[in-house]
Amino acid sequence: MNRIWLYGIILLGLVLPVRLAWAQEPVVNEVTIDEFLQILQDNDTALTVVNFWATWCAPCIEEFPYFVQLGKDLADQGVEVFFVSMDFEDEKPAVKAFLAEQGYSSTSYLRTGKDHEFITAIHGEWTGVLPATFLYTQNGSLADFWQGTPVDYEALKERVLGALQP
Amino acid sequence: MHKWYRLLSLGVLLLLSVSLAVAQPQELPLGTTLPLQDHAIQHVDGTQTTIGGLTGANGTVFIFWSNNCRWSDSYEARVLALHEKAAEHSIALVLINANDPEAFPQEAASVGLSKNYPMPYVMDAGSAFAQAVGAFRTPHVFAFDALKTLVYTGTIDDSPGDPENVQKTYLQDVIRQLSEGTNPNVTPTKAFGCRIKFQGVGG
Repeated sequence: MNRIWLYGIILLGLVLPVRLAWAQEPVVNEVTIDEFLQILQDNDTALTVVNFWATWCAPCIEEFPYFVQLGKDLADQGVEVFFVSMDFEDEKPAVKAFLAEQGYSSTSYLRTGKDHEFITAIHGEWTGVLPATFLYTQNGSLADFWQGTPVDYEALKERVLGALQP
Repeated sequence: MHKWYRLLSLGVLLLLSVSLAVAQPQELPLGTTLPLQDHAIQHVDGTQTTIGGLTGANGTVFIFWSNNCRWSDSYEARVLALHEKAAEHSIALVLINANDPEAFPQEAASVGLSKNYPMPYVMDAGSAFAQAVGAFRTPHVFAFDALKTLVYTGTIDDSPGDPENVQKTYLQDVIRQLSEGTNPNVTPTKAFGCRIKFQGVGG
């Protein structure tokens, strides 16, 4: 009987990590610009922070953990962070691997479609440089944006809190 | 006092926003004459030339390039084909590496030389030319006509990742129009690409 318990525990030890890994596998949805704009419009949190990034973009990688942290710290104030990767579609496994490495298991996005249309639809002043971050209020209007310059956690939090002010 | 403090904080925040906004490189507007024409620049094999010395009789296409960028890799075959087409019509196609080779050894001239590209490949030391034209990614195209006037800025075509899915052949159209002696009328385009790793800035 004791041996059965022992086998059971060993089996659980083998299976559980696999189950947890499955549970934490990042979800990366491919989106066109129209689909993404719809997602933004449908989102009714107080402030949506959209970070455009890519696995090949060193400053994006540098600031990525700050956005993950911000999402956790300000969730109770109605702040939600969306990540949109600009990697090629065939680089989705690399995107997922990076997200997993960052411990990020919420849904994120991978843009599809034409660059020029995507960039200009997001904002006329966006040059396409990465990283780029846009803050949208609950009614979908743009509260703030910046591009090309990575931020540290304090600067990021300050700008987001600034945009949250009525 | 409290009110003044709030106003001051707001001012600092505003200044920060403005400084971030103006820090972004701006592409030269169309119609501008090729800058830094007498500026000395080195080919990847170490031979010396000038920006003006790289120009073609019927036009010049500068493409900011990287030895270590998924976007450049993906465009390589297409750029080689465009070079052939351009060369037939005395249009120079020049690759230019403005990345910091000291911080990023993959961007060194020796690595560029090992690519054996048939077109000129030059090293933009200190990114002087990149900053003069407002280049900030790779690949990033700046096309000048026979009179050395800027006629197109932007990307090569509308499908960086998949050559089979190209619908708009921006640079090919510019080269065709230059070869026909007509004024290129391709609207500047925006695109994603690898960020130019300027000295002291990082990747």
